[in-house]
Amino acid sequence: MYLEEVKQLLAEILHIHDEVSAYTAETPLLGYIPELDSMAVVSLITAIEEKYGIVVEDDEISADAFETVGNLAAFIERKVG
Amino acid sequence: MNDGIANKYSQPDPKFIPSTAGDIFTLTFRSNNSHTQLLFIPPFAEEANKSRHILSALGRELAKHGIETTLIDLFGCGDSQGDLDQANLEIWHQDISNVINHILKQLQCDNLILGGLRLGANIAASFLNNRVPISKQQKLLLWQPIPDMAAYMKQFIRLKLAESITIQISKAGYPKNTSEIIASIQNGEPLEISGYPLSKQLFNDICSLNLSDFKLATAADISTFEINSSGTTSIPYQKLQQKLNESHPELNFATCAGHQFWACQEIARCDSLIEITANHLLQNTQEVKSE
Repeated sequence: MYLEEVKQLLAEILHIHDEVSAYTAETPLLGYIPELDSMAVVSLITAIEEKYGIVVEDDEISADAFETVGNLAAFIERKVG
Repeated sequence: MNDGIANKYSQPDPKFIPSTAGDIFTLTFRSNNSHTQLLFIPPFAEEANKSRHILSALGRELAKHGIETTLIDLFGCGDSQGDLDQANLEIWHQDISNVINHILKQLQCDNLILGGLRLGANIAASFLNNRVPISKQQKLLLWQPIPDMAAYMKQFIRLKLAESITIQISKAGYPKNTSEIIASIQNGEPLEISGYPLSKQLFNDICSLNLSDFKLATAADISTFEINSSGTTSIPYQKLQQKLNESHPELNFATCAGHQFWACQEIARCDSLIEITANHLLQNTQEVKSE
């Protein structure tokens, strides 16, 4: 449900519009997308909070949530409820 | 038009204006036959650096239509004097007041608009909330005001953790979490985030700038613009709009499709925002003239 929205957020924050169109739920994120450095992760979390009006707690920011595009979409779905 | 005059209106006019705690840097985009003055407060910290080209583009565009724009670096910010950890909201309000007085001395018209982007928008609104009217008609131009200040400051503090975040989230969480950092600020410990020193007072002052808590004059003319990639109003802004509508049923609220340039990793443009803002202000000033 949130897959396309995650792709849109990645495209906008990281400025990788061309690459993102080929992303699927299985596309790995952290460690695989060079643009996704530490500052970009922080920007991405901020963008998610602001777009959906949710608060991401420190202990919710896990390796699992940022493992793949699909995992991040699932994380947002859980948070938005 | 001779070259000298052409140059006057095409180049921004930098100026240091004496204020309470130090000299304040302003940059004015002059306009021939100006009928309106926009005083605009940039966003906070790194967001300001990522926005300067857009604010300059706004100033240049409005100047073509008779609206002069003055960008203000508040005390401790940008090119103004002072250190950020010496700043507080009262000093910033005095800066705005001093710049307004300085501008009003030179201005032929009484049509003054106070505007800002992100934290600058909240500061502009707080100024109207606390101060005497700036002109006959209170006008606010808010670009992407921050709907939740506590969340905003938590996001800012998260930058402190950024260097280690990718290492840590693949292990066992943060070395120190945002709550612990906020607690250390409240204990008065000095803190620097991405090169921006933050004091307890400034932290608490910024946290107090929730728009929904302000009692803005009901006569105030408020124009709010949200910018996002979809062009549809997001949930936080739907709530903010609903809250502001309670006291300001005629609130102008528009959502503009464009890049959130203040947050992009790379420099981004947002021409659509400048266009709809210019159109809105021009329509607004024409209505005032015809009244």
